[in-house]
Amino acid sequence: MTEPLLAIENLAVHFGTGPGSVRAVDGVSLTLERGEILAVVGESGSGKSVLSRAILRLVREPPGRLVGGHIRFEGRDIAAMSPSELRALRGDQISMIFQEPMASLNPVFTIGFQISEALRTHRSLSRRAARAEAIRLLEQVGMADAALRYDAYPNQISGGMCQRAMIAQALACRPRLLIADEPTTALDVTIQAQILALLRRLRDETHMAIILVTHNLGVVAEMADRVAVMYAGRLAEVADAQTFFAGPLHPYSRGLMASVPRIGDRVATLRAIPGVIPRGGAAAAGCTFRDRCPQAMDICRQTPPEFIQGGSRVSCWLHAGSDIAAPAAEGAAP
Amino acid sequence: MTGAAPAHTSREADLSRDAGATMPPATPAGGPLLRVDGLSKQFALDDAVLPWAKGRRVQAVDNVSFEIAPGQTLGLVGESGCGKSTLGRLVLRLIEPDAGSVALDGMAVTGAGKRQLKALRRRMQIVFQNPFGSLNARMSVGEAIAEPLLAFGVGSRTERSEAARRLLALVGLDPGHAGRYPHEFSGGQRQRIAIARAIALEPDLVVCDEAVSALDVSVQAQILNLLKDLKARLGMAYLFISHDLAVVRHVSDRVAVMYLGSIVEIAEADRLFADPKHPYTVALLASVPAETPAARKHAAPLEGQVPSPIDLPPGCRFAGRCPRAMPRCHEERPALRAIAPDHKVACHLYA
Repeated sequence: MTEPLLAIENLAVHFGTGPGSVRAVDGVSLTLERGEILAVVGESGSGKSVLSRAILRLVREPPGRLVGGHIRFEGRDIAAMSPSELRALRGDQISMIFQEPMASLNPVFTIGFQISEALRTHRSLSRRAARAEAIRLLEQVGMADAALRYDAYPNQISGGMCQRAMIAQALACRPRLLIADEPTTALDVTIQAQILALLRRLRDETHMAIILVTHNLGVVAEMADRVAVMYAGRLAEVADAQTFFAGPLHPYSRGLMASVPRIGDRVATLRAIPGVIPRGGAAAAGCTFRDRCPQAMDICRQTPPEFIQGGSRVSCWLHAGSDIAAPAAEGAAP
Repeated sequence: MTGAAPAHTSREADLSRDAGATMPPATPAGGPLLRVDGLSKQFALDDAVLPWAKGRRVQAVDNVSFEIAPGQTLGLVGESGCGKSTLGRLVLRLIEPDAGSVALDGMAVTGAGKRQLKALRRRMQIVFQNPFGSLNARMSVGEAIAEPLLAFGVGSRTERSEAARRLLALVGLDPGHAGRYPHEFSGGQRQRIAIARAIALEPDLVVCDEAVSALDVSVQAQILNLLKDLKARLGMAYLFISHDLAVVRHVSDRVAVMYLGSIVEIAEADRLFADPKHPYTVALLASVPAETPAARKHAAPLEGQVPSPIDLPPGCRFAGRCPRAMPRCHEERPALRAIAPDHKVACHLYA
């Protein structure tokens, strides 16, 4: 068995200190293979964005705090890296794209300059060579008139085009891992379809792995090889996409699926999940979903371990008859 | 699909009743509740902000006509910039149209004097996308919900606060929280408050402008169920504006698809989703992500993007992206024509 590209072990990120602190990410363990698309699904407050930023150590400290755990990327622990090691890693081996392309690109530099910057920094290319490579990248992401657009400022092109520019920038150094946080949420549905097709094509061509953070189950169904459902800082379920969509195991995953209206399957009333996600992140003990769970039991006051059932990992006492997942990290707990 | 329409004879009396009771129909049988005819709106581009665009105009809404029956939900879908929100505001005359007319229950909204308009406004309300922006942070939610009643001099102070508590209960919130302020509520709860305020005067028509778009899916489902439930109980009609096709499918009796200021297709909802005719509708439906991994699409159905609505060329506005465009499409704009009962399409393919 070869080593996975990325192995997150018992990662914990808290905000603030003392009794008011928020456990935004609370003991998350995940692995990612080369070329794999993993979707991290959750609602606002689930911790999915904090998790994705923590992988690149982009959580501002303070108020954030990496409390414990390891992030092993090709065997090296990102959690233990120095600022200069992180700088060498970011934008080179691991890149990130964000939800708001207009807000993530610098408005006072041309998009071409921002794409070549990564090439000049990490690859020490000359200005001319970087320009040629940036134009090639813009063509690769489907930007029409790439040579002309190189000199455009972000406000001169549309949101969909800005998202393509940001993807081109992220891909400049051929990263082995792309983290995409809600990459299509701000886009119209026809443009979303174009960007998703583009990401899939790039994965097929370059064999990079993608962590796709989204709240949209349609995007997950369209893209993911594997699905990780997050709730209040913890993983509720991790499953192969086919298995997940055929029948999710966790009551929260099932509630999420039933909440979404479907074009092909019109129902009179949606099965909404009552209540809202707890604001303070994970509670100290017990299942974080138990107050909203239609199947909550007495034992749910104790935090469930991760049970293995048919290749899926699920944190729910309903599946207590199954195998218990081996602890991901040896002595990694804080 | 049309339920009982609400009465508007004795509103003060209505308020003292249980707000959940069903009301008898009052609108003349067969007549539409809302009739929109040839509605158009252009915006001049600001010369100071865009000096190079001097004198240029954006055609936000262009000759739009449709009707909504009492108690019916018309879904209005389209991508950003298609004019759907402008259309919603034009219907309520929150902005003045350049041309065309809007009539509610046979009474002209466009051209109505100040007093008449105020009387009509009581029967039409709007729920906006952002419940953080549409509630006054300095007003308790009870005051916010009772404000429409105050504006129309309905009831005494005590009766109004009683009504606010009843409305809170109706939208699934604790009546005891009437004295709390908006920041004490979550996004979904705030949207419930905005809905309670919109239905306080028991309107005939509620415009929902992306009313669930900012909410998480589990909360979105709660609000969609609430809107459906209120419609069944109070018999309101909705103009439901959204970019989310699945949501529109879920709530609508009929659906209109907009592209660059015009309705390109309007039909009964099941029919539109089962048998879309306009190439844009077809592409829009095909762009919606798959519901299961087995149904993946692998390719984007539509290349390019929505062109700028400034100085549009003649002909069909979709022609530049349309996979089935013919020479005629670049010269002549197709009119919205009926191709079947309750199914209209603006496309030369069906001329």
